[in-house]
Amino acid sequence: MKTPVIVKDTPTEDAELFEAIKSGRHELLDELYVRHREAFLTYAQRQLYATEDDAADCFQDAVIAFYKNIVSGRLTELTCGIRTYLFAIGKRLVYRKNQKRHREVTSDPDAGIGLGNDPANELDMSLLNKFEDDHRKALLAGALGQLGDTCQQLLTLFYYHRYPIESIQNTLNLSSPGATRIKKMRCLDQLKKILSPQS
Amino acid sequence: MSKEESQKRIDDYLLGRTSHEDRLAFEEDTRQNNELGEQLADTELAMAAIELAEDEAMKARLQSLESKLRQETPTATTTSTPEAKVVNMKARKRSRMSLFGIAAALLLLLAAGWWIMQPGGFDSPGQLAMANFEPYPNIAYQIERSGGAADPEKEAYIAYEAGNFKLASEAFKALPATAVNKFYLGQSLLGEQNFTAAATTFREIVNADAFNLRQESEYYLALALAGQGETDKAIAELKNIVAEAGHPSLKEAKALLEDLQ
Repeated sequence: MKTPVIVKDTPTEDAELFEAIKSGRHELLDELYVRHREAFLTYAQRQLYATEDDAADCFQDAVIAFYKNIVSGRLTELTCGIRTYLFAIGKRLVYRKNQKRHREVTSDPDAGIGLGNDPANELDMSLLNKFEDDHRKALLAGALGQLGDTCQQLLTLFYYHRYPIESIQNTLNLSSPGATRIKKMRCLDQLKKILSPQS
Repeated sequence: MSKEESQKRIDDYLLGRTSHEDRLAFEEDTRQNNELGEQLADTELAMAAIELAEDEAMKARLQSLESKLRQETPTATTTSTPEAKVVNMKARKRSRMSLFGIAAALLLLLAAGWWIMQPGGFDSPGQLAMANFEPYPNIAYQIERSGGAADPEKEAYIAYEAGNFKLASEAFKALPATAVNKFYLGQSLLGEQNFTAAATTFREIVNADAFNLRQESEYYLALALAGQGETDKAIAELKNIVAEAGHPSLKEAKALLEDLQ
């Protein structure tokens, strides 16, 4: 027997996914990626003259930038579908890549535009610039990796994913919020020493 | 103030957890207190290192996912046809019970058929269409921030990007009837849920020569037909799309087809 059609309410699904990601479930980015990847790859290859590899690369960066906008508080609520957001960010990244490669489409039609509901307006473009700052990457790469696993996780959850101390305590199975704060302080000091040995 | 308290202030400042007034006060403190300023700079550097490391970790995770998806795609398309198996047939028994069973199954099928013929969980065909509608991004017109004289084309696309479909459709109607303008007119009409006019518009461009959104128009025509309640015609259009490997709207068409069937 055919399965009955269930009401499909995409905005609600998007809203649920958005709230879940906002609440710290960053593993759902994989779901987001799988859900919209094919459409973006097709769109970027057909309409923006991107190669498949470039399109995928830009879409990955778009998903990360989208997430960072959520955790940083720049994006607090959805004003359009998640796909629209991802496409807007991904499109800009493809244009940048195309410009670098001097492909046929040379300009970003959205560059410098302040349209009312352009999702990318809420995007801090410095986030995107960071992806391209290879020199800075080289300087900082590896510093966190020199810490122990718990320190790495603790600092990442606190400073990157913006988890509250109580959630970190639970996630890392630490004894109390106070102990978590002390541990975080020590881990941070270790990292600072690695980055600035003279201090 | 203890080192821990200073660090908490720095964290709150860097993580955007302070009010505007507190931010200003903190910035003033860092100017007057060198030690606090250095602690802030060190924390910023540490945060940059953490951000970089986690960016790379997330990127690696998505790259790995991408590789997996690419590996899965050819596997799915090259799956060999399942081999036929010979199975023993059980002897059939005709009995009153089996007749009752058949009758019960028929009743169930009738009930299920009636239920399936209902609008499938959607209140109307229009609702089903709108659940599948995502306005196509504006890839046709570059909107410049600075603008002199009013430009009807610019106004149309600004309205479109703002989601003001009523204004957009009026504006697109006033533009030259190019395939591109018609495509975005159709989009705007869909956004207005004016499915009949949208279907008419898309029908005019689905066979347009050298139009790079022609295939996408086929999907939106099907969507407009679905919204009108022309389910059979919509299904026929969608089946044509689904039969075309690499069609840009393949995924959307499959999803809509599934909803309609």
